[in-house]
Amino acid sequence: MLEMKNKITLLDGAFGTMLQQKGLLTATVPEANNLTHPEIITEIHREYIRSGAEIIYASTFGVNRYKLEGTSYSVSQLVEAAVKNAQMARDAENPQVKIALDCGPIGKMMKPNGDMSFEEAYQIFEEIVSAGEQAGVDLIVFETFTDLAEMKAGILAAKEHTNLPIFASMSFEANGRTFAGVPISAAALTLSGLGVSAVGINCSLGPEQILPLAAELAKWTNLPILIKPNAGLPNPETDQYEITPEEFAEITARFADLGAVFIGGCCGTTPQYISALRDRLSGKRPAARQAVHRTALCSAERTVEIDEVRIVGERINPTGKKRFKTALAEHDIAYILTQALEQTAAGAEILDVNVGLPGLEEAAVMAEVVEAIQSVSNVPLQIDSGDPKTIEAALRIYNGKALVNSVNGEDRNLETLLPIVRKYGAAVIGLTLDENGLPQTAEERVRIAEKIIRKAGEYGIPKEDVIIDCLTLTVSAQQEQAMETLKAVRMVKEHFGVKTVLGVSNISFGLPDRETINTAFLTLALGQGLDLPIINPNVRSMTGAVDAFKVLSGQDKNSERYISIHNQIQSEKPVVPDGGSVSSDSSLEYAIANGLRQIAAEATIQLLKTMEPAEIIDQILIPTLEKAGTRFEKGEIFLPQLIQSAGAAQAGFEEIRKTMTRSSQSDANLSKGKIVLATVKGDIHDIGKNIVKVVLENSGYQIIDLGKDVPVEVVRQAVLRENVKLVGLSALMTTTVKNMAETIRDLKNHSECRIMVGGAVLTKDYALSIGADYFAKDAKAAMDIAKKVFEE
Amino acid sequence: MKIDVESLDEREILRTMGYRGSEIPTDLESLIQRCIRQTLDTIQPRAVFRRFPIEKDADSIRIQGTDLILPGTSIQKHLETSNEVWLFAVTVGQGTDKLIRTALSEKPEEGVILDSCAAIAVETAADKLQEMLRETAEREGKFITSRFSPGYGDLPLTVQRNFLTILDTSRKIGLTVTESFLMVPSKSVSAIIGISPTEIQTKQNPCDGCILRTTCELRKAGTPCWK
Repeated sequence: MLEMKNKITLLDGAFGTMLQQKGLLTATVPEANNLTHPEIITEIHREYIRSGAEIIYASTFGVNRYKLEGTSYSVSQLVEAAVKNAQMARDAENPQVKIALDCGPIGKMMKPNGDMSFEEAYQIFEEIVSAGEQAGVDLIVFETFTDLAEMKAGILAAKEHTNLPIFASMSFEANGRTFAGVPISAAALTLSGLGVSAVGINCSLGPEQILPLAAELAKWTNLPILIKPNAGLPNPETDQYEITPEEFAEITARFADLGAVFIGGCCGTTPQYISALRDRLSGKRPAARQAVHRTALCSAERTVEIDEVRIVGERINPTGKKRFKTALAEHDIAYILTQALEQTAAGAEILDVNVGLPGLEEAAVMAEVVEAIQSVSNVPLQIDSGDPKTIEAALRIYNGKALVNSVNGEDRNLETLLPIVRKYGAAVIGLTLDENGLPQTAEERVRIAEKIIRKAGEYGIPKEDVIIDCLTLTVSAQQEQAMETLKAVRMVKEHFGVKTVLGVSNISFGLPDRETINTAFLTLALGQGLDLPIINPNVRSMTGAVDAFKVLSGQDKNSERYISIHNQIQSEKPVVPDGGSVSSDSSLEYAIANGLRQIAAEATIQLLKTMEPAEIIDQILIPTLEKAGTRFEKGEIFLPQLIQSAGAAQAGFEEIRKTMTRSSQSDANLSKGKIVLATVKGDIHDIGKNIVKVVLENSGYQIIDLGKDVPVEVVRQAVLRENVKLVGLSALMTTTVKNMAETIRDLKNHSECRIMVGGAVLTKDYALSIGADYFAKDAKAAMDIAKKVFEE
Repeated sequence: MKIDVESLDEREILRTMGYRGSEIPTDLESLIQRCIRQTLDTIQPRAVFRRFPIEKDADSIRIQGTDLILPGTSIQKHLETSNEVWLFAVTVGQGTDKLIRTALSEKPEEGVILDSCAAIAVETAADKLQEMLRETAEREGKFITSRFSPGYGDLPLTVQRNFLTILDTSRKIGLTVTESFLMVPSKSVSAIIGISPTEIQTKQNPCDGCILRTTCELRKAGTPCWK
């Protein structure tokens, strides 16, 4: 309806600029002019139509519940008025003109940076797009977005509540990223996957700066491209845009050569710019574009193209890992995050995420873990579950384009999962097994792969988004299957030209020295064309095999990558601690006092041979960390050193936990007590709380960290559920201290727990006046308070 | 507009971490240097500023041409001789927040150092902008006051939202405010600078207006953050 074959459709220019010219931009809600000055708004639209605009944007850019707070206007009222004004202009000038609902960012930042949840953003957009459809717009334009997750919330709201076509346009800086760090490739992959009708770039830059960005965009999407540049860059002193309509038109017309089909103007442009553009574009056709067939995944900040071997980290998975099971059961998200970051540091470029554990609500836990990992990591994720609800919960909030692990050749499985994969624009792994169980030959695997690829195509999932898993079976049980798997990898690649994936480690199950078998199998599989080995990247021989393969296969040009990684490995001396200073003293006391993690871990392993865990903790770990606290108090060491000491103590604790898990002992009785920590509702500055956590956790307490911006009732529930004796609350700003007071009141009404508080604007007197039992001015003070409370 | 921040003052960074002159082990020193470099590589300092005439009421300052009213005696005192102001906002961007958050879960001491580096980075950017504005004023034969931010003295933090809306910070530099009026990205500064036709007479001590006045360890130690 909107896109004309081989023709450029002209869009309109800026609205704010026109309002400014007419002296109407002083109001806090510029869109209120739709009600107060409808004739002027209609006239602006008419000028744009006369200048050649074929799609006009109703003046609704900033209309949303958040921006209208405290005004007398409602969303539906302003949307209705704005669309009516646009319709009047259309009816007066040209009935062929289409009207877009213009939808800008909400103006609030999404979590984890800000305080807006995905659901809240979704609801705000739902209200706007519903009002737009009701008012009779022809399409919805989301533009000027810088946060991919926020835009995804908007697109999903539009898809789920209207039947309108959607244009999705983001604003990039000259470095090719949005303010939120989103590169063009990630925007293109994610938005194209969500099934919009056009993707584009608008605002922020002039046409000249956007040209190279648009060229990049065309390399990552097959969708029609939309471009609305500013009239150059604004002068910071005067805020005026500096290129003339003719200059603008001359450069902007070049977007047609890149194949862009929707072209108009953003800030600083006026009807003169659009008519100059019309003249320039007259008779010009958009250049034909090359079809894009790339297999690529992304987070909001990083795109990983499967154009060479990419390591998928397998460690976020409770199967066979007691420590991980405990972490999941105890809701220890921090532990899971360390697993994610450790694998990334070791070379994983994609992380598999599996949280399936009996008794846990998988969908909720998966969504929480995915969100948490994305808050600290930029690696694309592979959602590993067989449960449709879990997969959908993860894909819904996932920021970027994810990989689903997995579907298989069963009809029912494909019919249930492929629509979900399609809806959220993910890529998917197809396991080559079906109703008949595990195939015994390579040919059978190929047959199932063919079916999965074909079915995916029927659901609109292109074959580059299907990655085939030819199934690694255990060689000690079915020896002949190893070669069948490898043969199938080659055949699938040759027959269908798709990418392949294998869970490598399963091959060696039941054999001694599994690493040797794993490395050999991995090397053979890479030779057959395996693209995505799912491995433990912390095992150096495995990542080494991949590094070496990349050299031998020519993927690593001039061996540059190999040289840089392996030079470093060679130069690493075995016993150099994190910081670098070598010492002859390798006692646990020395390691903790000097914040040496590696030495602390090794010393603890030695001590465990002769001492009981409780003895090590009570006689060495805790007293040494307390000493560090005292030195901190006296100014002999400062904050980073105290934290380093806590980190070294943590390395010791971790070794003790490992030993106890191995011997199936519970480590519960090692805990000195449970402490709930939370940064109060409304407050997102949690660094102080995090410092206190590190120190207390390694002073022997079990910390239940509720995070930041924690509602009053969540603190209460945790305290009551876990029967907690001490709660630590933090608040940074004067505006959030009142929420701290409210949390304290609520806790005092419902429990007997003691409460310590901290935060930059607090004083002891004030803390006590709002009902806190203790004021912790720093981490050392918190240690002292905890000791006092639990020794009572 | 972009602001170039090419270096960070290590002494300032140490001070924000409560450093009191003890010996810094060499490995920690190199870690701090690494964090400084990482911060400089990550920050995207951007600023937006606008100049407005002001009108003085009995108990507030009105920013003309907008609906922003700055209530309280602190801001009145601060703008005693001014008849115009610059409103400005500076941020080092969202990437810096993520860098700190990631480091805090991976290696907390690095997170703490990076947090201090980023705090100094945004102050440095604000200083640079202020210096630029001072030069502009000077060319006109005028004088500027020190920075005064929402939340200082009796100027409520609640003006923050309207303040940033007027500067269009969300679109121009990616700076927003939460329901509790905290700025996101967190390493950001918003402030008012008065423009005065006469030299600023009263010696302005920035601590007077600061919300941390009563608790600030730096101030107690005689080494306030503004030097």
